[in-house]
Amino acid sequence: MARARPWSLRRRLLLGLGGVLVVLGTGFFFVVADYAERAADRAYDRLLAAAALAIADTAHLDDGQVTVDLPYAALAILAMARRDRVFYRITAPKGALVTGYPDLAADLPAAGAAEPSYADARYRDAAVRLVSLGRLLAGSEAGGWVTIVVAQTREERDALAREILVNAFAPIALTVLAGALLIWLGVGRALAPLAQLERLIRDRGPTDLALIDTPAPVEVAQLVGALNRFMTRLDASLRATRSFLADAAHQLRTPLASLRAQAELAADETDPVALRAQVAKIRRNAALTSQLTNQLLSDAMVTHRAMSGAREQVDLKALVREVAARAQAVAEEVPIRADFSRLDGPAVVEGDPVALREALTNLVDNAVKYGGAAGPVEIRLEDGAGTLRLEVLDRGPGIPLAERAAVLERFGRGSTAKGTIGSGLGLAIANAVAATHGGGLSLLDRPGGGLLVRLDLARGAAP
Amino acid sequence: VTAPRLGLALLLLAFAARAEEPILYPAPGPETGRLLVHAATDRAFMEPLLRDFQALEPGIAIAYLEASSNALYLGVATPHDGPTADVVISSAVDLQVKLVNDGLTRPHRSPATAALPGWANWRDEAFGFTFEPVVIAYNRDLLPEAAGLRTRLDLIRLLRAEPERLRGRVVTYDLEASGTGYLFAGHDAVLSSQFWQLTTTLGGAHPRLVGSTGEMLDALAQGEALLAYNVIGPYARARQLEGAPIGILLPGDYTLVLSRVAVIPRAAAHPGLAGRFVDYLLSERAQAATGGLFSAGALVPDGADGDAILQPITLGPALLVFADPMRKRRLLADWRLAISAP
Repeated sequence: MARARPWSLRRRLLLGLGGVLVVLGTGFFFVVADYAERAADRAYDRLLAAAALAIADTAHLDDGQVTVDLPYAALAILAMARRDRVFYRITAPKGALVTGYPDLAADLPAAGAAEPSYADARYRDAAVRLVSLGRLLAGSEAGGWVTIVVAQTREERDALAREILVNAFAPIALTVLAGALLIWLGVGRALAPLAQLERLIRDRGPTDLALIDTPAPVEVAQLVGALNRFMTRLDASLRATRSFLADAAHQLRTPLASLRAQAELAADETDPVALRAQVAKIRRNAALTSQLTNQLLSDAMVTHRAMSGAREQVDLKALVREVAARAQAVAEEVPIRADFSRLDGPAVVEGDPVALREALTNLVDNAVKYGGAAGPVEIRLEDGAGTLRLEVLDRGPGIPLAERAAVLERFGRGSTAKGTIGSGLGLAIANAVAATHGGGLSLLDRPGGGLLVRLDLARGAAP
Repeated sequence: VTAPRLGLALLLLAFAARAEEPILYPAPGPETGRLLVHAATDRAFMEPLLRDFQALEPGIAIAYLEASSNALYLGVATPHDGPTADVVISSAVDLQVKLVNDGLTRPHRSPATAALPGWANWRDEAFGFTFEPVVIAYNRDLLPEAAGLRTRLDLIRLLRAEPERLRGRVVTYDLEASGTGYLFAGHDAVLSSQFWQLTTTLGGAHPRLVGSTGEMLDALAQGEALLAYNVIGPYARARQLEGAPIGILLPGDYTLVLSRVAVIPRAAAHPGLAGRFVDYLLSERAQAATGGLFSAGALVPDGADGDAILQPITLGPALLVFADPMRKRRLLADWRLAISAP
């Protein structure tokens, strides 16, 4: 499955901010709706209570009978809600109906106080709001709390609540809409520097790696900085490639030209002895050229691998054993010894096994080549301070102190290497590999004579 | 409609010709529908309206049932087996309003109902379709000085000034016999602080108490009574047009206006047809069919007092007060006490 493309910044911002607006707007709507209903209820509840009080006011005992003289004003008050229907029930202290609708809110408890209490109910298939209050009639045994219940349908108060809601919510809705518009415009403006940057880069020529120099807001400036750092690296890498190509061309042209000249000479030679000498020369030059080509390719490979950054856990012990065995097979009479005696525990680095093998092979080859005649070659692996230390020792002539920096450069060869076939790339490769593995390469005098090449490599994570 | 015909019809006033069985008005054309009208009003008033509606809609047969306003109310308010009326017409506006309040009617909306004034339309379910000022009537020949009366206070003064002349010759509603009379008195009691004073003064004149406007007008026309209080104006005007020596006063302190109310019961079998009939009742054409006497302005220009403050009985829940039996009982008891003065 293809990885989903991440949402655009504009979309994220719009959805995020718009979502907040929608949530806020919805929240406001319910708050205002609730307020509107309560406000409408309060307004009409007062009318309802006024009507009930007016009725309660006329309640009296007449000949021991609870009597209510339903006042016109009471219902006229309720008739102010033009469309609403009205129901009422007046009940004597002992529960008998005095007048009104006997089944109105029949489950409502009898009033025991003059304080009005409100409730919502359904009556005759309509939603009604009702008030219930009591009127204390004292005097005879028929006395007690008279219950007055007055109910009104909700049409007018619902209409009022709707009106309040519309009037109160309209400005909020307008604000939310204005906010949405501002967010739309603001997000566009905020993202403008990015679009400008994109235009700037798109309009560049393919070889233009100059730094981007444009004023940018802080957030974009970081991106510009990162881009600039990347371009600096890219520029350096391009330069390195170019100089390598120039070096390689130069280095290969000379031996190839001399090979060709010697071959032409040999073609004209009639004396078999001289011809043999010339062929031997050609063979030597061909070997030199072949090694040079191999080293160049190896160097290019190491550089490429360092840039491509493939890393894994590499067991140096196994690597040393493998390289030593391979070198031994070629070197024949020169003894090559691996020494792990000063190593405590595993020797694992995080790195590129191919590059490491190449570096070590080069060092061992050098040691065999320059010091093999004088004594055995030793490979030591030991613990350093937070590093693993790999040393290749020989008993050769060593490298004078003054030349040590130069031999680490490409095609740099020391004076002691004269008379030996070499490309001048082996140490440079090893040095580059050490550098990409968080360490370094140093050239030291071996006590008792010879060269000690030391590679310090950062330890890998514990397995 | 001619005046003599209306006059003939008025003889049948006061539900005297109340029928038990519905009267059928067959469709003038091939019958396409049947409308069931229940009314607590005189058939003479309704018949021109029914026939005129049939002229408009020749396919409609009308079954017309006349009953007391209480019977009509119970016919809608209590469950029963028979067919429910499509339209119920009554001047007992308190009971009509109670039907609406109790959720027993259905709404009807049309341009005609929207054009009604607020007091004549409640919830688009109760429609007042007449305009009937409640007036003081007098015999022009026998009590000419009554033409100078302006207010109820003037009436009280006249009653007190001429106790012997008016004794037994004043006529008004018997509230116990007439729901309409009770409704008028109920409104008087609310509107006027002089109501009980007036009732006591009327009582002092030993009035004749009757059950209908028609009886009051009969008594005036025949000279048996000189003065009638709370007479339905259009009927008095009809008598006047017939030539009876009747004067009409619209009291200047306030003049109550009654409006007959039509409702469409929730259980109506033909609500669409009922709606069309209601629209017809509210139309100019219907006003013309009743001789123009029941429309707004029919009486006011001719009234003794052009400055009358008209107080239409507003359709609304406040009328439930008059439908409350306990209040009615008490008002009737108080009224009986006041009207039967020694």
